[in-house]
Amino acid sequence: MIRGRFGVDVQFTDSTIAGGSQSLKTLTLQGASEYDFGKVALVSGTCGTAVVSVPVAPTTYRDSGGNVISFASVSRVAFSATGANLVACDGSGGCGIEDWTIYSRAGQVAVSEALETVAFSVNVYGTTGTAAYTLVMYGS
Amino acid sequence: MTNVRGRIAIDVQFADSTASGGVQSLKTLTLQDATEYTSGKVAIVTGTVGTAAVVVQTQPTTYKNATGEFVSFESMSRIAFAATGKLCNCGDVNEMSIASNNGHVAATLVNLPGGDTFVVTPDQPAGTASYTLVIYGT
Repeated sequence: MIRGRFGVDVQFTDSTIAGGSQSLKTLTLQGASEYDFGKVALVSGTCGTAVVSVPVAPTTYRDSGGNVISFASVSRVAFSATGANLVACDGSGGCGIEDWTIYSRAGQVAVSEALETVAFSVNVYGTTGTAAYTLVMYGS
Repeated sequence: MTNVRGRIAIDVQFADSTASGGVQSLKTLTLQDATEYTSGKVAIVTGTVGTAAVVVQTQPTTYKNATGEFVSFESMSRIAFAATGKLCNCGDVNEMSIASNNGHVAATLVNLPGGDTFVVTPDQPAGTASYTLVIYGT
């Protein structure tokens, strides 16, 4: 049984003072989704500029019962990579018309809806560098 | 000139449990990040998309800051995107593309020069969707 959540919280204030008067604008974009069914897997590894394939059917992750997780479709992902270089996570199945790619570096997490049935590809974006990555996949 | 302060926080947590033979096994999965920003520029752009893609300009954007000036980016480093109504992509002219539906917020790092546009594309032609795009940069 799985239970979990994806939470994203973006909040900014933009203020200015002029002539003794302060103006303030706030920007907020927030979303929190709870999940009490489905499948979840976490895959971590290292990569360079060469593409590393992260298959989803099956993954390399074993659940609490010791069973290897295999997705029919991954619907949401969170991706994090270390280091100063941007690291790309590509979906082969894609979402919509465009190729699907998200980026992370320095431990900053990227999240997105996905429609992946085959494998994700992870690589350092650019011509040099290595990184450690973590990919959390949720789906069915 | 405005003073921008803010944060982007992402919190993904799952518990995976199994009970068998009187024994319960539990695995937890966590991926979290919270980044504070004390300078730079931020803009929020909202709109609707129907059957055709919508282009979001960044130099300048349509968002006015606290001084009433349109925010114009010299570079962009992070975005957050949410869509309701149907699945939508938000991508740039190169490779970046994130997707959202049902108000699920998507976010990614980017490394784009000011002037690059974002394109909000519907996955399905039928129906309409509302979207919100937050752009952070300099």
